[in-house]
Amino acid sequence: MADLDSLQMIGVPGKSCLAYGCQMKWGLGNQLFVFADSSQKPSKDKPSSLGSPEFIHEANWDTDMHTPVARKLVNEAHDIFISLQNNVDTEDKQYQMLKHSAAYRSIIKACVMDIQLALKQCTSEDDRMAFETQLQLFEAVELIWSFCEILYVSVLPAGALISQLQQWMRLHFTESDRLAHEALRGSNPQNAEGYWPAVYGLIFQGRITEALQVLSVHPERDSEHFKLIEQLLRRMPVYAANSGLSIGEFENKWRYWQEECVERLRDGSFMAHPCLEVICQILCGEDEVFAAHSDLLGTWYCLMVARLFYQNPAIKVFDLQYATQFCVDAYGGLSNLQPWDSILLAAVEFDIHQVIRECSSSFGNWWFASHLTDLLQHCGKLESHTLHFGSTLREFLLLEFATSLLSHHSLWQIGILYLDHCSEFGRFYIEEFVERIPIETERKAQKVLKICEERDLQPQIRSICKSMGMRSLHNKHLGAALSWSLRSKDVNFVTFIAEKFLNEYSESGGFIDLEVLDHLGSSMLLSSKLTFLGKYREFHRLYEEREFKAAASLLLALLTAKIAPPRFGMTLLLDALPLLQSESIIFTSEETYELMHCLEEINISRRLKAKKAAKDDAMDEDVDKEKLDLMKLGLARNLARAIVHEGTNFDMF
Amino acid sequence: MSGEKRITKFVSKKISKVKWRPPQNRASSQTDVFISGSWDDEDNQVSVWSVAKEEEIAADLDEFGGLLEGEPHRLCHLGLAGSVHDLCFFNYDLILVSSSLGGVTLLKHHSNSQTLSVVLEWKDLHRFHSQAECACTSVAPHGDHFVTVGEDGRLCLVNMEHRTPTAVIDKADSCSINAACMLKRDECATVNSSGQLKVWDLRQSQDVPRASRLFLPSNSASGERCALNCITNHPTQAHIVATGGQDGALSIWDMRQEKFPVTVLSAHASHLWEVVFHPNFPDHLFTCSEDGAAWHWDASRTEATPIFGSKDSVGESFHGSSAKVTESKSPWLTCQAAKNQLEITDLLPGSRMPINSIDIVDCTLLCGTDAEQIICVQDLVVA
Repeated sequence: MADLDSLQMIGVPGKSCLAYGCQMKWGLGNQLFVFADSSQKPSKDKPSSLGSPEFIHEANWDTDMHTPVARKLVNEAHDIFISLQNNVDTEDKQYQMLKHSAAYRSIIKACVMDIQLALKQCTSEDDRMAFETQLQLFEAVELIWSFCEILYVSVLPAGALISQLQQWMRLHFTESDRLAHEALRGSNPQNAEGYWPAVYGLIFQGRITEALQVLSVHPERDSEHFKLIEQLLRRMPVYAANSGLSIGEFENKWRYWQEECVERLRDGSFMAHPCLEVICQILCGEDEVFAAHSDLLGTWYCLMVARLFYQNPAIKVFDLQYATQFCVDAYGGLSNLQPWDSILLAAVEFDIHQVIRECSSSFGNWWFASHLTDLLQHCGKLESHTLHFGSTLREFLLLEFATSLLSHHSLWQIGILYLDHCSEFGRFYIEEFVERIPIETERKAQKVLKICEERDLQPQIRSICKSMGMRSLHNKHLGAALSWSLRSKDVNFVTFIAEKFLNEYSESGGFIDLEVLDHLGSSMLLSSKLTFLGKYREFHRLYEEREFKAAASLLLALLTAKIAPPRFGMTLLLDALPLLQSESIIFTSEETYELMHCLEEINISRRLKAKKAAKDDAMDEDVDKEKLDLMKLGLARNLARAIVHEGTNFDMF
Repeated sequence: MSGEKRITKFVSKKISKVKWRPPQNRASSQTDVFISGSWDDEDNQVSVWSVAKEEEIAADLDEFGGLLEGEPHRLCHLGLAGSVHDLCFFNYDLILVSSSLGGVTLLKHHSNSQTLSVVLEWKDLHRFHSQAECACTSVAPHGDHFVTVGEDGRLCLVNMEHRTPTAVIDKADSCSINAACMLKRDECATVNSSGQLKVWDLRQSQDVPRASRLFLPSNSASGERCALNCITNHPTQAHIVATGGQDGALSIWDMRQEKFPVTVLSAHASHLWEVVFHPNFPDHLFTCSEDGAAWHWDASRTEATPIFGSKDSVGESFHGSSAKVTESKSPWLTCQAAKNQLEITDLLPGSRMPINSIDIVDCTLLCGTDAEQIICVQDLVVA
């Protein structure tokens, strides 16, 4: 798909890029950041631009679908897309495909109508231009979509094909209606410039009843020629699938009728009236008359449908391609085809890859190509062979389309839903994208996390929770940081945050964000640091609530289980001091021994440390010495009291 | 039960909040104007919409041409910096908007010229320690004051007449506060992202006001923290409060009882973003969720439906006049026991994109979605 002519060039505004050369970094999806390369010396022949402000330029592409009107289309289409994917394997697949194709068409039509409305209300010239371009684009999309639907999605019996094509033509080409309307409005319709073209146009489109209506205002309507042509027109056989007529019978009837028309033409019934003769020539399906009215028909495909209707009304889909040569030549051959004309030509020739290729290059967005390809793939019209990049054409286009959505500020949620249906690379794309979606608020974070959870993207969940946790931490929001870390279930990160809490405690002597700490529950067990933090806070709470007995045993458990960080050993012991000195005996002799053991251990490890770091702070030593002595005294006293108490109340135990 | 009609309007912006305008006088419950706020776009906006009536469409084909009956059409809009997080009508034509940048804007809707204009702005009511922007998640008006809460865990009480808040509770929460609602004149309830509900007494504003009461999620023992996203109170019985959580559960709390929710109804598959009681028929409740569903909860058929003047309430009135009202039991407080009598209808079957906000007036429910739609569900059966 990398045609050279699809390259786009955009100049980078500003002088600094000229002077230094450009550097660039990828943004999210279809986004590039371009800036002056400051590591380069400015080239000599270019003026140095020092002093001028530096800019970072943001370049975006494939932004067609970001306009308000198109966004509506994107949002509506994704619903149909998802529903289509869910209905691929149903029994009435054929019907489902047709139904979804029609749904797509109806939203394209709605989009066209929206643009028409906007065009009517718009005031500025620039807007008008933009809307007009969009209008042309979406009208073409609708035209091509419905054409492809007739050829590929609906499976039509011979005979029904032409009538479908005629209907399609009537919907999209209303020139003859306009002419007829205009002519009939005047006082002398038969003299109006558009009178006969209107009649021909209607007959070309097979709208006999309407053509007769226009003819009936002619003053000569009661003359013999008019009666005759009216008779021929009225007797034209019409194929209807439910008429009970087999295609063979219909063809016979048709041939018989057309032979009569040829007869009339040959015997000169209309010699006196050239206009009626033209009608008869049309009915006979004469090539010259179609070629002569190519201007009226407008495009090669209108010519084709009109000509086939009078030459081969029972044509089958695959035979259409043999009828194109004449029609294209009538408009000056292949080289004169407009881009959209050639898309339809490729469609008739069943060159679906060419259709998709041209759709991708002539429309500035991937919406059309990707949805059409998806539909055709499900209809089985497209071989699902793997392209050199590793997956099918359908997936390639869907990935491109999803990327253009994910590059948008707010359409990323829909982009993700499309990626879900890319079996090969979708998950990989999602993984890469979700981590890069800018998250401004917690609510958005929750939404992104929900997307990850639904798809079980554990590493991404962890990383998003961690970055949210770090954000809270930077904002001095420890409670929130802890909540995020718990959600990330990352032990190291939880430990890291718990450490912050303990530091905070060491510095201020109190706990903060109590609501979170007090209600940790079983999530406390995630990290031993956190367990300590939670339990230590519980000790403080018990102490505050004057549950001394429970507090004491918790403290002892913390000391003996050795989950406390070493630097907290002394703190914990000192916390025992008021309990040791309280009036009633809280620690039993047994427990006091254990405390003494802990004290001794701490003492030993301190001495070892002191030896290693010979230059110890004398001051620190003194303070600690004081504390140690106090502690020892407290322990000894408590032991004495406990032994006496236990001895005297022996029978109580 | 499926007599309701759905009208979907695509608005080319993801909608974070929809809100009906309160009726002009108390006698009527009808209103056909609502506001919406968008989020997560480069340029977000607040829009005022009107629901087209059949007569209007017929009378003015030029303006309403192509509109369906009941389809909203935009009266006016105004661009705002930052995503809209919450919005509410302060009175008939004044609108309070809280933004992801931490401020609150007061807008006026001029119905004569159909324009929106900014009356006042309170910038940076909420801001992180590091000066980073911080979303003001909710704004709850009451009297001439309003309360704002934010992701910074702060609670501000602002008087409409003053440019600076009258009271700021800096560390109201250690987590983000996700929503607030006024219970009484001086009492406000907030929910946070670790699943707690707190009640604040705002009279103590001179001192450091404290949470007067703390409520816990019923699953707090397991340590599973599940954020509460939204809170609303019962329109007539002020002690009944409903909240919606991250796990999709609807909780009903009785403010007269201690600590835990009275009823927890597991509901949606994902975040429950908003819960509203029907203003006139509070036995009907509506919820919406990230999973794309909007549910109608009908508790009117549970056995506990209050019968005014029944023996119970007469008996109670001997003990005090105030007891009379509070003792008429709400079905919401007993529906844990009567779960199977609760009738739940999915109002948007088949919808998949997240629904961020709902609001109900009369028989019409509004839904604002991430699929850039506003859906009107009309002709709901309530009563």
